[in-house]
Amino acid sequence: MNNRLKVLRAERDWSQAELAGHLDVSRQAVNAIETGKHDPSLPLAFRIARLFSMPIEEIFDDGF
Amino acid sequence: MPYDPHAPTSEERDKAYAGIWIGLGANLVMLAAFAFRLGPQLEGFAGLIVGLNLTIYALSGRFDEHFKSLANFGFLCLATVIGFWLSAQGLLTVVEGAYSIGEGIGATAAGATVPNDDFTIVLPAFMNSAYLLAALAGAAFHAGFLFQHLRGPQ
Repeated sequence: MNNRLKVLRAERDWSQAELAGHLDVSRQAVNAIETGKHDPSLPLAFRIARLFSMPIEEIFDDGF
Repeated sequence: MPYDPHAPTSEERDKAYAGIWIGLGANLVMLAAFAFRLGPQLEGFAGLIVGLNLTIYALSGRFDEHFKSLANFGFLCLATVIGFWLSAQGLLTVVEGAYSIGEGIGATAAGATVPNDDFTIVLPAFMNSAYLLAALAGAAFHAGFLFQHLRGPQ
């Protein structure tokens, strides 16, 4: 699944560790989501959407 | 999400990944200790580290979801190794047992007496080693974890 997490993080000038701190996950988890190696669960996707004040579908794209 | 005052920090969650490398190292020591007979102390110490790691990964909920998804794949590999081992052991037992019975029937038909020892099922010695099975299962967990870590979702 494609996502804009890296772009959104860069816009706020956050490191992966800082974003991980906001989301209560590990830095490795943020890296895995950004590189498409891990699809976040629905609760985590909602946390990400809330953090960036955006709808989930504007951050994640399932290709359909 | 409910507030948890004891929730691990992001840095603490990061450390869980380092634990995998420690577990992998200890697992390799387990295999080496078994293969080269390096002594019960080393076998026991390495086994303790791997055992504690696997128990914590299986029972603790204080890891993030990415770590849990990797660990789940590791446990899938671990279970597969145990399944293969038991299947192989069962198959060898059946084959060995069938051979012994066939040999007994053939000898009896030919009028010869067959000692009871001939019906004893003998498996290769390593197949009765729980330590080796545990070491291989642990290695499968770590290999699965790292494989999934590198590969990502399909």
